[in-house]
Amino acid sequence: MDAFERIQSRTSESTRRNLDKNLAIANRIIEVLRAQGKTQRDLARALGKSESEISKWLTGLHNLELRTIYKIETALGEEVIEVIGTVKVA
Amino acid sequence: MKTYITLHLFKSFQKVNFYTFQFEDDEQTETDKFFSKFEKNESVKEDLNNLVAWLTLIGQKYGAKIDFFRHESSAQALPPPMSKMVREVIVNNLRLYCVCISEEIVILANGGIKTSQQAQDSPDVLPHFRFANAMSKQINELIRDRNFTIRGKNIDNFHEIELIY
Repeated sequence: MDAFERIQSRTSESTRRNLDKNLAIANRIIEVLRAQGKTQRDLARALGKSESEISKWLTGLHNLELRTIYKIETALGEEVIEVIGTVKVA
Repeated sequence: MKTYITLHLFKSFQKVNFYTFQFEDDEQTETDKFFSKFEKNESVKEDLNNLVAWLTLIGQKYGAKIDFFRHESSAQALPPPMSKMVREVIVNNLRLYCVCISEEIVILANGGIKTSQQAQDSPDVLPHFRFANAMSKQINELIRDRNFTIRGKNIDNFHEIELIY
């Protein structure tokens, strides 16, 4: 086992899940931008942010606040996240 | 003195192959050196865990979209032109440099702890940033001359490629 694999095996499930969600959100934003023929620069302008800030958001290594995600959704005119409906408990 | 560098497959995942560089006289690849160097460093333990989990998820699930990777922010770090293929993975102050070939192929280099805003003022990362740019320049030339053949997530002729630094 090499160092990469040892680090992999010591990393908690919560760390992995957190990154997975962040990456899923970043991935969705990237795909919407691509589908609309827009760039990170376009999103930065629409939100009044720097390109560097947008670049940081899209790495999937940044914990975006919900209100920031809502602002992105408004700027893109598309849903980025969706809440699964009410779960009935027996 | 110039040294030869070869390419090696570092990790293969469903969606991405991560390759790495190795100096001819070294026992470890550049990326093995990076992870070995910081593996037991408590001050970056969580950052390193995040970095490895992130690479794994990119490899397994999301693919290496260029937007997931960041540019070195310092325009002063190297004389122009800086390679557009050189990107960095940033987890707080930890930096890992890489050369992004496609969404399925990334060549990881080495990195370190960045101690200032600009790479040129961070002695721990500057040599690795310069190295990644030098490698990217040569790879660009190989691609231009059709001596760097990729198919899906594989660099078909990576065993034959010799770079110089």
